[in-house]
Amino acid sequence: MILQISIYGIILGIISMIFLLNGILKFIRKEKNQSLFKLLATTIIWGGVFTLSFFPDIAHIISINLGLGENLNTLIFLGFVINFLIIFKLLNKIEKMESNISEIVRNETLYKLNNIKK
Amino acid sequence: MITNSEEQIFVIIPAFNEATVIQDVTKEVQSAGYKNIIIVDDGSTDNTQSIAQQIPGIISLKLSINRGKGAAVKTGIEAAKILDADIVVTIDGDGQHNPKDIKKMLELIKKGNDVVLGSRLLNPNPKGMPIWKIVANHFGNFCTWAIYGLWVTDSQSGFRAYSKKAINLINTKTDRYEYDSEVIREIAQNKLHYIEIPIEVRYTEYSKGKKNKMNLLNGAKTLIKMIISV
Repeated sequence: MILQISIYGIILGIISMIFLLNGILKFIRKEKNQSLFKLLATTIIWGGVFTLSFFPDIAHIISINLGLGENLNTLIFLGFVINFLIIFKLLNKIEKMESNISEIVRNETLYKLNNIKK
Repeated sequence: MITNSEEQIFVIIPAFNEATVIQDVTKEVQSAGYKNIIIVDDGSTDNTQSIAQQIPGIISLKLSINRGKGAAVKTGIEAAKILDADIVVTIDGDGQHNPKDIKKMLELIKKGNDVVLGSRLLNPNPKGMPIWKIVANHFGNFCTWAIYGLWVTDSQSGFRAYSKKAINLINTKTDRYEYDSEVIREIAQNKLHYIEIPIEVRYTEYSKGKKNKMNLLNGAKTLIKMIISV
Protein backbone atom coordinates (compact mmCIF):
# COMPACT_ATOMS: atom_id res chain seq x y z
CA MET A 1 0.00 0.00 0.00
CA ILE A 2 1.52 3.30 -1.09
CA LEU A 3 0.29 6.66 0.18
CA GLN A 4 -0.69 8.78 -2.84
CA ILE A 5 -1.57 12.43 -2.35
CA SER A 6 -3.40 14.23 -5.14
CA ILE A 7 -5.79 17.22 -5.25
CA TYR A 8 -8.75 14.90 -5.98
CA GLY A 9 -7.68 12.65 -3.12
CA ILE A 10 -7.48 15.55 -0.68
CA ILE A 11 -10.92 16.90 -1.72
CA LEU A 12 -12.47 13.42 -1.48
CA GLY A 13 -10.70 12.85 1.85
CA ILE A 14 -12.06 16.10 3.31
CA ILE A 15 -15.62 15.36 2.11
CA SER A 16 -15.55 11.81 3.49
CA MET A 17 -14.08 13.05 6.77
CA ILE A 18 -16.90 15.60 7.14
CA PHE A 19 -19.56 12.92 6.61
CA LEU A 20 -17.73 10.48 8.89
CA LEU A 21 -17.39 12.99 11.74
CA ASN A 22 -20.97 14.14 11.25
CA GLY A 23 -22.20 10.54 11.57
CA ILE A 24 -20.11 9.92 14.70
CA LEU A 25 -21.24 13.20 16.31
CA LYS A 26 -24.91 12.44 15.60
CA PHE A 27 -24.49 9.05 17.28
CA ILE A 28 -22.70 10.55 20.32
CA ARG A 29 -25.41 13.24 20.66
CA LYS A 30 -28.00 10.43 20.49
CA GLU A 31 -29.91 12.31 17.83
CA LYS A 32 -33.22 10.96 16.54
CA ASN A 33 -33.08 7.85 14.31
CA GLN A 34 -29.44 7.12 15.17
CA SER A 35 -28.45 3.52 15.71
CA LEU A 36 -25.29 1.45 16.03
CA PHE A 37 -26.04 -0.09 12.62
CA LYS A 38 -26.25 3.38 11.05
CA LEU A 39 -22.96 4.35 12.66
CA LEU A 40 -21.30 1.17 11.38
CA ALA A 41 -22.64 1.74 7.86
CA THR A 42 -21.43 5.37 7.90
CA THR A 43 -18.01 4.31 9.16
CA ILE A 44 -17.61 1.55 6.56
CA ILE A 45 -18.80 3.65 3.59
CA TRP A 46 -17.15 7.01 4.36
CA GLY A 47 -14.16 5.37 6.06
CA GLY A 48 -13.70 3.30 2.91
CA VAL A 49 -13.91 6.41 0.70
CA PHE A 50 -11.39 8.18 3.00
CA THR A 51 -8.95 5.26 2.87
CA LEU A 52 -9.29 4.84 -0.91
CA SER A 53 -8.76 8.55 -1.50
CA PHE A 54 -5.25 8.33 0.00
CA PHE A 55 -4.47 4.68 -0.85
CA PRO A 56 -6.03 4.14 -4.30
CA ASP A 57 -3.91 1.01 -4.81
CA ILE A 58 -6.19 -0.83 -2.37
CA ALA A 59 -8.88 -0.95 -5.10
CA HIS A 60 -6.42 -2.70 -7.42
CA ILE A 61 -5.41 -5.21 -4.69
CA ILE A 62 -9.10 -5.98 -3.92
CA SER A 63 -9.81 -6.38 -7.62
CA ILE A 64 -6.99 -8.92 -8.06
CA ASN A 65 -7.94 -10.81 -4.87
CA LEU A 66 -11.57 -11.02 -6.05
CA GLY A 67 -10.36 -12.49 -9.32
CA LEU A 68 -11.55 -9.53 -11.39
CA GLY A 69 -8.06 -8.60 -12.52
CA GLU A 70 -8.19 -5.43 -14.61
CA ASN A 71 -12.00 -5.55 -14.97
CA LEU A 72 -12.71 -3.39 -11.91
CA ASN A 73 -13.66 -0.42 -14.09
CA THR A 74 -16.34 -2.50 -15.78
CA LEU A 75 -17.73 -3.44 -12.36
CA ILE A 76 -17.77 0.21 -11.26
CA PHE A 77 -19.53 1.17 -14.50
CA LEU A 78 -22.09 -1.57 -13.92
CA GLY A 79 -22.57 -0.23 -10.39
CA PHE A 80 -23.37 3.20 -11.81
CA VAL A 81 -25.87 1.74 -14.25
CA ILE A 82 -27.61 -0.23 -11.48
CA ASN A 83 -27.66 2.86 -9.25
CA PHE A 84 -29.17 4.90 -12.06
CA LEU A 85 -31.88 2.30 -12.63
CA ILE A 86 -32.70 2.17 -8.91
CA ILE A 87 -32.94 5.99 -8.74
CA PHE A 88 -35.17 6.02 -11.83
CA LYS A 89 -37.42 3.34 -10.32
CA LEU A 90 -37.61 5.23 -7.01
CA LEU A 91 -38.45 8.50 -8.77
CA ASN A 92 -41.20 6.67 -10.61
CA LYS A 93 -42.62 5.32 -7.35
CA ILE A 94 -42.43 8.77 -5.71
CA GLU A 95 -44.19 10.31 -8.70
CA LYS A 96 -46.97 7.73 -8.41
CA MET A 97 -47.34 8.43 -4.69
CA GLU A 98 -47.42 12.18 -5.35
CA SER A 99 -50.15 11.61 -7.90
CA ASN A 100 -52.15 9.54 -5.38
CA ILE A 101 -51.78 12.26 -2.73
CA SER A 102 -53.08 14.84 -5.21
CA GLU A 103 -56.03 12.59 -6.01
CA ILE A 104 -56.92 12.27 -2.31
CA VAL A 105 -56.60 16.06 -1.78
CA ARG A 106 -58.67 16.70 -4.93
CA ASN A 107 -61.44 14.31 -3.86
CA GLU A 108 -61.52 15.98 -0.45
CA THR A 109 -61.84 19.40 -2.12
CA LEU A 110 -64.56 18.29 -4.52
CA TYR A 111 -66.53 16.32 -1.92
CA LYS A 112 -68.68 19.29 -0.87
CA LEU A 113 -69.28 20.37 -4.45
CA ASN A 114 -70.40 16.84 -5.34
CA ASN A 115 -72.85 16.84 -2.42
CA ILE A 116 -74.29 20.24 -3.42
CA LYS A 117 -74.77 18.93 -6.95
CA LYS A 118 -76.59 15.81 -5.68
CA MET B 1 -74.02 31.67 -8.06
CA ILE B 2 -74.03 29.95 -11.44
CA THR B 3 -75.70 31.76 -14.29
CA ASN B 4 -77.87 29.81 -16.68
CA SER B 5 -76.99 30.51 -20.26
CA GLU B 6 -77.06 28.39 -23.38
CA GLU B 7 -73.48 27.34 -22.90
CA GLN B 8 -71.94 27.00 -19.50
CA ILE B 9 -68.55 28.67 -19.68
CA PHE B 10 -66.31 28.26 -16.67
CA VAL B 11 -63.11 30.19 -16.02
CA ILE B 12 -60.63 28.40 -13.76
CA ILE B 13 -58.09 30.47 -11.85
CA PRO B 14 -55.41 28.45 -10.03
CA ALA B 15 -53.85 30.54 -7.27
CA PHE B 16 -50.92 29.99 -4.95
CA ASN B 17 -50.12 32.85 -2.58
CA GLU B 18 -51.82 35.41 -4.82
CA ALA B 19 -53.55 37.37 -2.03
CA THR B 20 -52.22 40.67 -3.44
CA VAL B 21 -53.77 40.28 -6.87
CA ILE B 22 -56.47 37.60 -6.79
CA GLN B 23 -59.31 40.06 -6.24
CA ASP B 24 -58.25 42.29 -9.15
CA VAL B 25 -57.70 39.30 -11.45
CA THR B 26 -61.15 37.92 -10.64
CA LYS B 27 -62.84 41.30 -11.06
CA GLU B 28 -61.17 41.71 -14.44
CA VAL B 29 -62.53 38.33 -15.55
CA GLN B 30 -65.98 39.29 -14.26
CA SER B 31 -65.78 42.65 -16.06
CA ALA B 32 -64.98 40.82 -19.28
CA GLY B 33 -68.40 39.18 -18.93
CA TYR B 34 -67.71 35.80 -17.36
CA LYS B 35 -69.71 34.92 -14.29
CA ASN B 36 -68.82 31.28 -13.69
CA ILE B 37 -65.45 31.56 -12.07
CA ILE B 38 -63.73 28.86 -10.04
CA ILE B 39 -60.74 29.92 -7.98
CA VAL B 40 -58.64 26.97 -6.82
CA ASP B 41 -56.36 27.93 -3.96
CA ASP B 42 -53.40 25.57 -4.16
CA GLY B 43 -52.72 25.35 -0.42
CA SER B 44 -51.64 28.99 -0.09
CA THR B 45 -49.93 30.09 3.11
CA ASP B 46 -51.23 33.67 2.79
CA ASN B 47 -54.89 34.76 2.90
CA THR B 48 -55.67 34.03 -0.77
CA GLN B 49 -58.53 31.73 0.25
CA SER B 50 -60.22 34.20 2.63
CA ILE B 51 -60.01 36.96 0.00
CA ALA B 52 -61.39 34.61 -2.68
CA GLN B 53 -64.29 33.64 -0.44
CA GLN B 54 -65.27 37.30 -0.07
CA ILE B 55 -65.57 37.84 -3.83
CA PRO B 56 -69.29 37.65 -4.64
CA GLY B 57 -70.59 35.18 -7.21
CA ILE B 58 -67.60 32.91 -7.58
CA ILE B 59 -66.81 29.37 -6.50
CA SER B 60 -63.83 29.17 -4.20
CA LEU B 61 -62.09 25.85 -3.66
CA LYS B 62 -59.02 25.09 -1.59
CA LEU B 63 -56.56 22.22 -1.76
CA SER B 64 -55.60 21.47 1.85
CA ILE B 65 -51.90 21.19 0.92
CA ASN B 66 -49.88 22.65 -1.94
CA ARG B 67 -49.97 20.19 -4.85
CA GLY B 68 -48.83 22.34 -7.74
CA LYS B 69 -50.34 24.35 -10.55
CA GLY B 70 -51.29 21.26 -12.57
CA ALA B 71 -53.15 19.70 -9.64
CA ALA B 72 -55.00 22.96 -9.01
CA VAL B 73 -56.03 23.35 -12.65
CA LYS B 74 -57.16 19.73 -12.82
CA THR B 75 -59.23 20.22 -9.65
CA GLY B 76 -60.85 23.27 -11.24
CA ILE B 77 -61.63 21.33 -14.41
CA GLU B 78 -63.10 18.44 -12.41
CA ALA B 79 -65.26 20.95 -10.51
CA ALA B 80 -66.41 22.47 -13.79
CA LYS B 81 -67.31 19.00 -15.06
CA ILE B 82 -69.42 18.40 -11.94
CA LEU B 83 -71.19 21.70 -12.70
CA ASP B 84 -71.90 20.61 -16.31
CA ALA B 85 -69.48 22.97 -18.01
CA ASP B 86 -69.56 23.11 -21.80
CA ILE B 87 -66.41 25.16 -22.18
CA VAL B 88 -63.58 25.60 -19.70
CA VAL B 89 -61.01 28.39 -19.80
CA THR B 90 -57.89 28.31 -17.61
CA ILE B 91 -56.11 31.54 -16.79
CA ASP B 92 -53.16 32.25 -14.49
CA GLY B 93 -53.85 33.79 -11.09
CA ASP B 94 -51.05 36.37 -11.17
CA GLY B 95 -52.76 38.68 -13.65
CA GLN B 96 -50.34 38.17 -16.53
CA HIS B 97 -53.15 37.21 -18.93
CA ASN B 98 -55.74 39.56 -20.32
CA PRO B 99 -59.29 38.15 -19.92
CA LYS B 100 -60.32 40.07 -23.06
CA ASP B 101 -58.52 37.31 -25.02
CA ILE B 102 -61.08 34.76 -23.75
CA LYS B 103 -63.63 36.00 -26.31
CA LYS B 104 -61.38 34.97 -29.22
CA MET B 105 -60.80 31.59 -27.61
CA LEU B 106 -64.51 30.92 -27.19
CA GLU B 107 -65.21 31.85 -30.80
CA LEU B 108 -62.64 29.29 -31.93
CA ILE B 109 -64.08 26.59 -29.66
CA LYS B 110 -67.54 27.32 -31.07
CA LYS B 111 -66.09 26.94 -34.58
CA GLY B 112 -65.26 23.30 -33.78
CA ASN B 113 -61.84 23.35 -32.16
CA ASP B 114 -61.43 21.16 -29.09
CA VAL B 115 -58.57 23.09 -27.53
CA VAL B 116 -57.40 26.68 -27.99
CA LEU B 117 -53.87 27.32 -26.76
CA GLY B 118 -52.91 30.85 -25.88
CA SER B 119 -49.38 31.51 -27.08
CA ARG B 120 -47.19 34.27 -25.74
CA LEU B 121 -44.67 33.71 -28.50
CA LEU B 122 -47.13 34.14 -31.36
CA ASN B 123 -47.67 37.69 -30.18
CA PRO B 124 -45.51 39.92 -32.40
CA ASN B 125 -44.97 42.25 -29.47
CA PRO B 126 -44.55 40.26 -26.24
CA LYS B 127 -44.00 43.31 -24.05
CA GLY B 128 -41.74 42.79 -21.08
CA MET B 129 -41.13 39.07 -21.64
CA PRO B 130 -37.57 38.50 -20.42
CA ILE B 131 -35.10 37.04 -22.93
CA TRP B 132 -34.26 34.11 -20.63
CA LYS B 133 -37.95 33.27 -20.50
CA ILE B 134 -38.21 33.28 -24.29
CA VAL B 135 -35.16 30.97 -24.55
CA ALA B 136 -36.50 28.70 -21.78
CA ASN B 137 -39.84 28.59 -23.54
CA HIS B 138 -38.26 27.47 -26.83
CA PHE B 139 -36.36 24.78 -24.91
CA GLY B 140 -39.61 23.68 -23.23
CA ASN B 141 -41.30 23.50 -26.62
CA PHE B 142 -38.46 21.38 -27.97
CA CYS B 143 -38.63 18.99 -24.97
CA THR B 144 -42.41 18.73 -25.28
CA TRP B 145 -42.07 17.91 -28.98
CA ALA B 146 -39.26 15.40 -28.35
CA ILE B 147 -41.04 13.63 -25.47
CA TYR B 148 -44.71 13.99 -26.39
CA GLY B 149 -44.49 14.36 -30.15
CA LEU B 150 -46.45 17.55 -30.86
CA TRP B 151 -44.93 20.91 -31.79
CA VAL B 152 -46.55 23.98 -30.28
CA THR B 153 -45.18 27.50 -29.93
CA ASP B 154 -45.92 27.89 -26.20
CA SER B 155 -46.07 24.56 -24.39
CA GLN B 156 -45.94 26.25 -20.96
CA SER B 157 -48.84 28.64 -21.40
CA GLY B 158 -51.54 28.40 -18.75
CA PHE B 159 -54.09 30.38 -20.78
CA ARG B 160 -56.17 27.80 -22.63
CA ALA B 161 -59.73 26.94 -23.54
CA TYR B 162 -61.22 23.46 -23.75
CA SER B 163 -64.42 22.11 -25.24
CA LYS B 164 -66.60 19.61 -23.37
CA LYS B 165 -65.15 16.82 -25.52
CA ALA B 166 -61.61 17.88 -24.59
CA ILE B 167 -62.21 18.07 -20.83
CA ASN B 168 -63.76 14.62 -20.92
CA LEU B 169 -60.89 13.08 -22.90
CA ILE B 170 -57.85 14.82 -21.43
CA ASN B 171 -56.54 12.70 -18.58
CA THR B 172 -53.44 14.11 -16.91
CA LYS B 173 -51.42 12.59 -14.08
CA THR B 174 -48.78 15.20 -13.34
CA ASP B 175 -49.23 17.93 -10.75
CA ARG B 176 -46.79 20.74 -11.28
CA TYR B 177 -45.44 22.73 -14.22
CA GLU B 178 -45.13 19.59 -16.38
CA TYR B 179 -48.94 19.57 -16.48
CA ASP B 180 -49.03 22.14 -19.30
CA SER B 181 -46.85 19.91 -21.48
CA GLU B 182 -48.81 16.80 -20.54
CA VAL B 183 -51.93 18.44 -21.92
CA ILE B 184 -50.10 18.73 -25.25
CA ARG B 185 -49.45 14.96 -25.13
CA GLU B 186 -53.15 14.34 -24.45
CA ILE B 187 -54.10 16.54 -27.42
CA ALA B 188 -51.84 14.43 -29.65
CA GLN B 189 -52.93 11.07 -28.24
CA ASN B 190 -56.64 11.85 -28.40
CA LYS B 191 -56.28 13.49 -31.84
CA LEU B 192 -58.05 16.62 -30.63
CA HIS B 193 -58.46 19.61 -32.94
CA TYR B 194 -56.37 22.41 -31.54
CA ILE B 195 -55.38 25.89 -32.57
CA GLU B 196 -52.92 28.39 -31.18
CA ILE B 197 -53.68 32.08 -30.92
CA PRO B 198 -51.51 35.00 -29.87
CA ILE B 199 -52.33 36.31 -26.41
CA GLU B 200 -51.42 39.47 -24.61
CA VAL B 201 -49.05 38.91 -21.74
CA ARG B 202 -48.46 41.45 -19.00
CA TYR B 203 -45.28 40.91 -17.04
CA THR B 204 -45.48 43.10 -13.99
CA GLU B 205 -42.91 43.50 -11.23
CA TYR B 206 -45.26 41.38 -9.13
CA SER B 207 -45.46 38.45 -11.54
CA LYS B 208 -41.72 38.56 -12.28
CA GLY B 209 -40.78 38.73 -8.62
CA LYS B 210 -43.01 35.94 -7.38
CA LYS B 211 -41.29 33.03 -5.70
CA ASN B 212 -41.83 29.43 -6.78
CA LYS B 213 -41.98 30.40 -10.45
CA MET B 214 -40.26 28.37 -13.12
CA ASN B 215 -36.50 28.62 -12.75
CA LEU B 216 -33.54 26.51 -13.84
CA LEU B 217 -33.97 23.99 -11.02
CA ASN B 218 -37.74 23.72 -11.50
CA GLY B 219 -37.10 23.41 -15.24
CA ALA B 220 -34.75 20.45 -14.69
CA LYS B 221 -37.26 18.82 -12.32
CA THR B 222 -40.04 19.35 -14.87
CA LEU B 223 -37.95 17.73 -17.60
CA ILE B 224 -37.22 14.66 -15.42
CA LYS B 225 -40.90 14.33 -14.52
CA MET B 226 -41.88 14.63 -18.17
CA ILE B 227 -39.50 11.77 -19.04
CA ILE B 228 -40.85 9.63 -16.18
CA SER B 229 -44.46 10.31 -17.16
CA VAL B 230 -44.01 8.82 -20.66
